[in-house]
Amino acid sequence: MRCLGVLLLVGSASGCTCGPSAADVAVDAAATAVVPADLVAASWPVQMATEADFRSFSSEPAWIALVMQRNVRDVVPLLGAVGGDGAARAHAEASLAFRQAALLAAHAVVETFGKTPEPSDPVGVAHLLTVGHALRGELAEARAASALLPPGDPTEPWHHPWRTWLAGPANWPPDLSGLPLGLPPVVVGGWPAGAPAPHYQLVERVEGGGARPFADPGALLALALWHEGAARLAAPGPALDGFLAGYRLPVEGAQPGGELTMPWLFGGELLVAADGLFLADLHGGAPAVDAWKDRSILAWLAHASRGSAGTIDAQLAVDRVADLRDAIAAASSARTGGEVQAHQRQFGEIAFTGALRGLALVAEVEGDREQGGRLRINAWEHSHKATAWPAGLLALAAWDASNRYPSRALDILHAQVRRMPELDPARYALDALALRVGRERPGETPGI
Amino acid sequence: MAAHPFRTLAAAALAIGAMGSLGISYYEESLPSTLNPLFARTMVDHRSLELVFDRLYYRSAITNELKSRLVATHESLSEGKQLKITLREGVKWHDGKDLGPDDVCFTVSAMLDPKTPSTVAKEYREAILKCESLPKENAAIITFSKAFHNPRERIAFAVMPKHAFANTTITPDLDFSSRPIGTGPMKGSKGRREVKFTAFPNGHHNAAIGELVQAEGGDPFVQVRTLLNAGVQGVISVSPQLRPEVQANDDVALKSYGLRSWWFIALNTVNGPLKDKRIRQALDAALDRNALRELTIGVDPNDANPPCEFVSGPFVQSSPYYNRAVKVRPAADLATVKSLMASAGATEQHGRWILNGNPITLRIGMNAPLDVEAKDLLNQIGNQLQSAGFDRQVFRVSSDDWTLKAVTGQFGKDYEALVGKWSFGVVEDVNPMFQTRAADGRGALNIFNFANKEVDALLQRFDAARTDTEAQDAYHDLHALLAADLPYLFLWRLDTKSAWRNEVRNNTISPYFYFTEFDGWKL
Repeated sequence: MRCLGVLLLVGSASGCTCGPSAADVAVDAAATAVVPADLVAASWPVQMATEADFRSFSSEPAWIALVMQRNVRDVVPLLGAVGGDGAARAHAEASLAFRQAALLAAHAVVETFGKTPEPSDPVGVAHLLTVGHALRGELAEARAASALLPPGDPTEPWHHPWRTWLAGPANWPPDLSGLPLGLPPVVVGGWPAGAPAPHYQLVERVEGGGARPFADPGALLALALWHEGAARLAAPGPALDGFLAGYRLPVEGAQPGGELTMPWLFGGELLVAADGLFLADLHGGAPAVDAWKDRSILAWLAHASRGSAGTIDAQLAVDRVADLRDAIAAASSARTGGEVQAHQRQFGEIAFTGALRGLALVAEVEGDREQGGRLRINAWEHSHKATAWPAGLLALAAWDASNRYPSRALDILHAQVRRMPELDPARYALDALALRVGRERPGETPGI
Repeated sequence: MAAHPFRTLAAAALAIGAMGSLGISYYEESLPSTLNPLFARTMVDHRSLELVFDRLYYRSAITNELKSRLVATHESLSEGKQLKITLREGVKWHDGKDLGPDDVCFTVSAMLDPKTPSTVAKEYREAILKCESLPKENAAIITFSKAFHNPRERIAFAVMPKHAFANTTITPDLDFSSRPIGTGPMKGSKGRREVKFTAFPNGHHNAAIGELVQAEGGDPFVQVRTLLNAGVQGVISVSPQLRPEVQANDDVALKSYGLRSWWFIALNTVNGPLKDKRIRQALDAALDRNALRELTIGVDPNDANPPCEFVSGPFVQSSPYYNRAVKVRPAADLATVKSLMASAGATEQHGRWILNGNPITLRIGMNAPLDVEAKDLLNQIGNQLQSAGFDRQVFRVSSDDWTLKAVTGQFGKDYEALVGKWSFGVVEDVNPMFQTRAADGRGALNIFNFANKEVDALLQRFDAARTDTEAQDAYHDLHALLAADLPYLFLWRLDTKSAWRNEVRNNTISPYFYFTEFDGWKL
């Protein structure tokens, strides 16, 4: 009986350990000195170190699917039926995944049709560029692209809401209710499919040119906003904004966040209540790190990972995050008799991967894409099952697209679409980028 | 034949002992077939060469930014049809001589020399017309066949030393192929059982790891045990079945390697019973891919992102070239086998197919190193085909034979089927595998010299495509045609994961080329 909760939560991934086992690892107690003990103690993995702590979650299968399988699509209706913070969390997870898929599509269309245009590109790419630039926060470019779209283009029904939005002050969010997606009214626990892709055909400008089927990036944003609306309906309050803070779109800019309660933290990549506040504040600049380092684990890690340049050094960051994992293991196991249990180890891995991804965001804001990229890729290397957070993985795919590196993005999106078919519209834009990049690069002959 | 794993292990351990604290060793799939960049065919070749040579331009493994360690500045001339590159000062070859623009132009001339039998050079031949050396400026002007918007991409070739060759006709059998002279971070020397790389401090490289020993991987289990016991520091390709064990170990980390590989069984469409398409289709129907995958690679039914995914054509499923309308065939369909074989004129006697009075016997070969990734695949394929009524003999083909004979189309009378895999980076050009082989280099990787006019026409359509969509449509049609005509039985995509001990730090792995960022690796 004692093992039941752990068995449910850990499942087959790590096996159930009831007491000491060969899988348990001894942790050097000295490691706990590295990260401030009060921050470690406040982290959700330590707060949830015992079965009794997380029984309210482990008794609910939807939470197991959310944390151990990262199966957002299946979880939304289940937690939606329960309502409250859990439902809001599930919708927020979906919102972030769709946001990052929209950003992926935005980067892909700008890189393909904006940075390496071909004379044969369809006229309608002006609409794609409008949306792409808009989501990237490049409103002047978005307006310029919008002005190039001729009347009667097949994209017109999808373009109209954007033209209207860009004609004004472009306050976030745009009203996308006019998109021909057939989205139902926002309801907690709902999972709208949107209109099936492709959404229109774009004719290429060559003699006898074929039609390029395409899906609209705005559809992904509409779904993201729909789920955000459902999350607010389920649990009004600032916690949602704290949860969304790290992975908002560039066009959204900085938004105030709120403290995260346990339903917003449990099994997630933010570790303490103030991590969301820190990320919300981060877009204000580097002082956020110093301002929050005593309350936010992420800010503390960013502070402790500064290299000689005064910004995050990826190797230092990896070392600090590994220290954090050890410290969490030590503090967690201290609450259960000194041996690290399977679920504690798993929680530590989630913290490890989440901290890497969080620090990558900080490095990006500091303007160091190289260090940020190293951390993103390091996090991706550790993303398996419970640590394979869809929004984080899609954020890496979006980042890759912005770098004109489609291969990994294709694989990530392919895997996510398998579980969340509604992400499929992003595939069209990414395919366009992959085709263009693949045809312009020699030097990679097929290898045996 | 692969070295016995314990002998390899002993050799590697011995090498480590001699290397001291700044050396590491690792297991490769096999030894490289060459260390001459013009003749690289295997992924082992490409990976090894990245340590020894510099390409004029390369892409960052992190940001994908186009960079160069050899070029200081570049300038576009003649409205984009020429590129002037000025070389960085102080770059030395591994024999101590200075790198100069003559070396760049020599490499171009060697690639353009029609007597240099290099498939690697083929795509550069299509883009580059000539190279003019400007020694006083330490610069070279490269002229292209047309203006490219990305000319630096078009010269991402490895630079070779002019002084190491008598003329621009370069052949693979020169000593240079085993004792190359490059400007890369490591000086390489290929022996019979290992390749040793030694750091060569240079103006543009300063590898932190002094020595690197590459040994041929044998039994995958032994490889992993040796890694976990610190007998080696890295394994390039870890069998999927062993990944959970590696993942559970705190001293070792699994690393993803950006390589898209798909596995196949090439069928002999020129000689023997498989000339008949119906018999090829029967073989396709006889395969139980689900069972093959489970028996040789292992499948976690709960894994939402499995490392192995079936394919129905010559692309991975995530590729924009993959035709999703062509469905995979995961299970065997013996009724279809019977129907197809009957229509081909075969009769079944005591569970064996008889054609023209003789049992159908299939000689099946497999590129031996693949056994590391999919243990016992060859036997399992043979067993399945035998239980469907086809006699079989199975053979492991050595890496050298695979490289020198199989992919060059010389096994047409030796085998009915060959099991292999192809690996790709960002570029997914499958024309060399399916185009009719020709003296001009077309069809250079056509294993059984398959020839089909419809296929050739589609490949021509791909090459002549004016737009990305036309290229995509051509390959979608190709996928459908190949899935029906079956010069290959398409199996699956299998991702590649390496494992490195944690004492090897900052070990960024570049997509496709692997060791591009080796300078940053530390102990």
